[in-house]
Amino acid sequence: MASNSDLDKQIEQLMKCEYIKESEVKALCDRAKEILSNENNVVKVESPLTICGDIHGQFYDLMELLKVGGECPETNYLFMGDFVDRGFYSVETFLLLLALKVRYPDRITLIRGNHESRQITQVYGFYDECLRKYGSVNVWRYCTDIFDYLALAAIIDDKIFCVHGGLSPSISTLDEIKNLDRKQEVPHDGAMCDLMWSDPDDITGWSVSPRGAGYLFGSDIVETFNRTNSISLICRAHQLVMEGYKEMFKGSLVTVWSAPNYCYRCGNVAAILELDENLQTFYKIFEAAPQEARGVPEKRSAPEYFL
Amino acid sequence: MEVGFPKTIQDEATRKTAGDACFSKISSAELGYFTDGYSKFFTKNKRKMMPLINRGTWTRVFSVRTLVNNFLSKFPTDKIQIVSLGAGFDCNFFYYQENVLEFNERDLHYFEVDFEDITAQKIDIIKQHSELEELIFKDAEPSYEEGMIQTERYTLLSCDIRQVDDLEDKLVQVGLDKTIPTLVLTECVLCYMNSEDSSQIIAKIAEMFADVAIVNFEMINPNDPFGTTMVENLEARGCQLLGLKDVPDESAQVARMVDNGFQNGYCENMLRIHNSKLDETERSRIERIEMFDEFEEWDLLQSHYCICVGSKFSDSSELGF
Repeated sequence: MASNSDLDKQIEQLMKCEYIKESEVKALCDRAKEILSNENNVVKVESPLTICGDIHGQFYDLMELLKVGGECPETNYLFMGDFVDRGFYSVETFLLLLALKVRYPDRITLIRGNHESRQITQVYGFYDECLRKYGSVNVWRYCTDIFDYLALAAIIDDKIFCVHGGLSPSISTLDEIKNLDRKQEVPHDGAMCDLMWSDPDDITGWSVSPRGAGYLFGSDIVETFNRTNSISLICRAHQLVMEGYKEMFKGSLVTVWSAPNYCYRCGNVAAILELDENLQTFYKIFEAAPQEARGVPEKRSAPEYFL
Repeated sequence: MEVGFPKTIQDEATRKTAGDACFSKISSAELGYFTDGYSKFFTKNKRKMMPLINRGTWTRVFSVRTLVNNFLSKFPTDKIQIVSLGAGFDCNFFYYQENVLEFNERDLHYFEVDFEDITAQKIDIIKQHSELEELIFKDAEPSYEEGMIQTERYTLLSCDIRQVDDLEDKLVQVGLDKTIPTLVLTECVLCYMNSEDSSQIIAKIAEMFADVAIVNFEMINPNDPFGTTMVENLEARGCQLLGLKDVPDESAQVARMVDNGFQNGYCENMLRIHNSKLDETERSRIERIEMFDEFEEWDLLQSHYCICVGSKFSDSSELGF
């Protein structure tokens, strides 16, 4: 078992965007597994707290986020999933967040996004990145095994419900989420899949999602869910918002997006949501890390267009 | 005096885009989005592209092929011509010749024009692959002239298409017929030159033929956050979108056609074309090929590309989807 001083050294290294040794990843994952498996499917957390949306391997922009939001453990953080894929530094990004989780388990909460999945990371980059950086897929295996242990949702002061995607027609109460068996690959359908894949939309009731997984849900669904569970706000990520965040349904739901200039192409700003101890909300907007903060630019870093 | 990079650097970067286009086509063709057995001969490297790029490449290729088919059926009996300007390593001629009976059996001529070094590279690669030679030369013995290929159905030649009089002379020399129905293709070509040059090219085409349509695929909307980033990212690799400032959107695309001698202009962004103009069976087939989780980005990327069709036919009709 790695000691805290080993961990501090690894965190220091990861903060410089240097990835740690495969054996260290293995040890880190073993410790993380112990901590995460004791967490409820719906983690109870307390304010004050800063809520973050998708990061997608944009390591240097995560550094911007920490500058704007404050370092962990001084600031309590909740990350709503999609740590990996798309960006160039999924390995460093996920391992840093995981190391912080192991080092400060009560200060940082990680919940699972639809990209924390074996299947989708093979399409969207994390698998290839692990193979490229470590020469084998062992690290990808350790990490995807950890994904299965990540909580599905969080509830802040019993009032604010946080989830990566959204609601599910198979779920009406938080207890129903608590009763799911989460320790598995993200299924193609059903409650667990919906929580990570669904999107709010200006419709009434439920509708098929164009994503091919999860559902679209309307304001009436949110109203019923919030009333049933005595919740004032649903906080979720999953969808790119050019302005960083977007409130919907008379403020009963908000999308928070934390990957600025997503995929180095979209030109969007990012946001984090700060909650004080009275659950007052403050949005902080930030932009992508400047080029000179990004270290040596990667050769393959040119975003793709049709040329 | 032109602002920005010296013309030669910009031209060099433009040439390189021929290879980039190849990567995308190989990636999506290998996954089964569309048939293209030959782009793979034109680059040594291979890259797995994101589903977003694969799907967008399909939208581009399928849209252009649909318009070419519509052109073929619009003139079912005439001899026709297709002229691809800035053709790069495009392999559509090989595709049509091998897979499309309406093309293969037609009396037609397909011209491809690009910079001298691109044309030379294309010829080199064709020489190395008998599959390509067979599609061009059929049963005849392959023969190459200096820097060009010329057969009864296919011509590959080099020209800086911005020199419009030179372009006309060269095409006429190799047998271009100004009196027959002609389709001109410009895919990601006009955007790299300034708008004076692109307008001149369009005007020249309108002036040369009695029955002609032009299909132009390229970027639009350089002024919103996605567009600004696109312009910056491409500039960072040395490739300026010189034409976008003056032709920034759909209506400017149409105006450029109409102001330069075309009767009708039609322009839609690729998101709308994808959603409402393409064959639905085919669309639902390709939507099942890969897991797709890039919807917001898809909308952004697709709404920054368009197809503009200018038509000038003696019966006043249009070429459309």
